[in-house]
Amino acid sequence: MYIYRLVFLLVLAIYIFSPNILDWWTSPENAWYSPFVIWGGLIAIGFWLEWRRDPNEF
Amino acid sequence: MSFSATGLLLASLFYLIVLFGIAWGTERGTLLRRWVRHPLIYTLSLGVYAGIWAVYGAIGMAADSGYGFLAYYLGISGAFLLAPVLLNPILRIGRAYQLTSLADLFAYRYRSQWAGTLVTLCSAAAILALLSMQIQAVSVSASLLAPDAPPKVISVMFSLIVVLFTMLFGARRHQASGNHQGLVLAIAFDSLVKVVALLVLGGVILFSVFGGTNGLEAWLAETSHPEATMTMAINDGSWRALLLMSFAAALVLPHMYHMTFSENPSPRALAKASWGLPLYLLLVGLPVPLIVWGGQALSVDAPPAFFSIGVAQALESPVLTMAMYIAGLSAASGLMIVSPGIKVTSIAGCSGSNAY
Repeated sequence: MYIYRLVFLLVLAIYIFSPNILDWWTSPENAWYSPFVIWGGLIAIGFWLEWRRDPNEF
Repeated sequence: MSFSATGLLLASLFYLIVLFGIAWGTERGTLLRRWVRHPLIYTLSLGVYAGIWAVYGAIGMAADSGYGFLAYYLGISGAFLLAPVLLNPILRIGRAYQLTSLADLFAYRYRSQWAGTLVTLCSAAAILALLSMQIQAVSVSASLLAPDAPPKVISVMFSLIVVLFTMLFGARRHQASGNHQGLVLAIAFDSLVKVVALLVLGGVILFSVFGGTNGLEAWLAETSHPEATMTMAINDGSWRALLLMSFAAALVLPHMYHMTFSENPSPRALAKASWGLPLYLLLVGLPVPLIVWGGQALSVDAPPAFFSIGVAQALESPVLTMAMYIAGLSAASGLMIVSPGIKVTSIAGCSGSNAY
C-alpha cells in the first residue's frame, strides 16, 4: 500500500501545480513544440519502465 | 471550394462501408484474426477516446485559450502512464468476476443492484450530450463542405448507418464471449485514419503555408499578439476541470471502460498501451497548434473549431478537404458505434446483477 500512497501524493501534487508547470512549458522563451518534447520525454520514461518490468509482475 | 451534397453523401457512405467490410471480414475470419490480439491494434482501438473533440474541438479551444487544450490529452495520458497501479487492478478484478461495464463494477463493489442502475442512468444521461455533439459536428462539417446539403438529412442518415453498424457488430453482440474482434479492428482503423489525416494536414501547413520550421519561427516572431501565438496564460479553473475530467475518462467514460477492460486481449497489451495511448494522443495533439496558426495565416473564414476543414479548403486541395471531413466522420462514428451498444449491455447487465 506504500507505493499507492506515494503515487496518490504525486498525482495530487502534479494536479495542483499543473497550471504552473504548463505555464513554464509554454513560456514565450521556449520553442512552440516544447510541451510536446516534455510530453514525449514522459512517454519515454513510461516505455522504459514498462520495458524493464518483470513480466510476472502483471 | 465546395462539394455536391450527393458526392459528400457517397463519400460518407463509402467510408462507413469500408468500416463494415473490416468488421465483417474480421468476424468471418477472412482478415487475420491474430492482428486483433496485437497490442498495437488494442492501443489504436483505445484511440476511440479522441472523438470529434480531438479533430475539431481541440483546435477551437487552442484558438481561444492557447495550450490549455492539452489538458484533454494529458489527463488520460497520466491515467494510462499510471496503469500498473490504477488500471491493472481493475483489469484483474474485471477478468476474475466478468465485470463488462462500469455499472457491473459498481454493482459488484457495493453489492447493490441499485448502485449499478444509478451508474447506468447517470452515464446514459451524460453520454447523450456526447453523442449529440458528434452528430452535430458531422452535420456542421458537411454543411461547410456542401452548403446545399440539408444538415438534418445528413444527421439522420449518419445516425441510421451507425445504428445499423452497432446492431451488426457492436458491443451488444456476443456479450458472453467478451471480445468483439470486428468492432476492435474497425475502431483501430478509425483511429489510424484520424491520426494520419491530422498529421498530413499539420505537415502540409508547416511546409506549404510557412515554408518549414524556419518560416514558422519567423511568422511567430513577427506575430506578437498572444492570442495568435497561443501564449496566453493558462486559466487555472478550466485547466484543472478539464484535466480532472480527462484523467477520470479512462475509467468513467463507458466507451473507454469497454475498450480498455472488456476488449483487452491480455495484461501485456494494457502494459504496452500505458505508453502507447499517450504516444497516440501526442501525435493527434501535435498538429493542433499548426492548424490554428495555418488558419490565422491564411485568414480562414470558418469558425476556429472547423479550421481543419477551412485550412484544407483555403489550400484548394479537394483530397485534403475530404480527408479532414472523413477524419471527423471516423472520430464521430467510432465513439457512436461503441457507446450505445455498451449502454444496452449495461442495462441488461444491471437487470441481471442480482447475483452480486
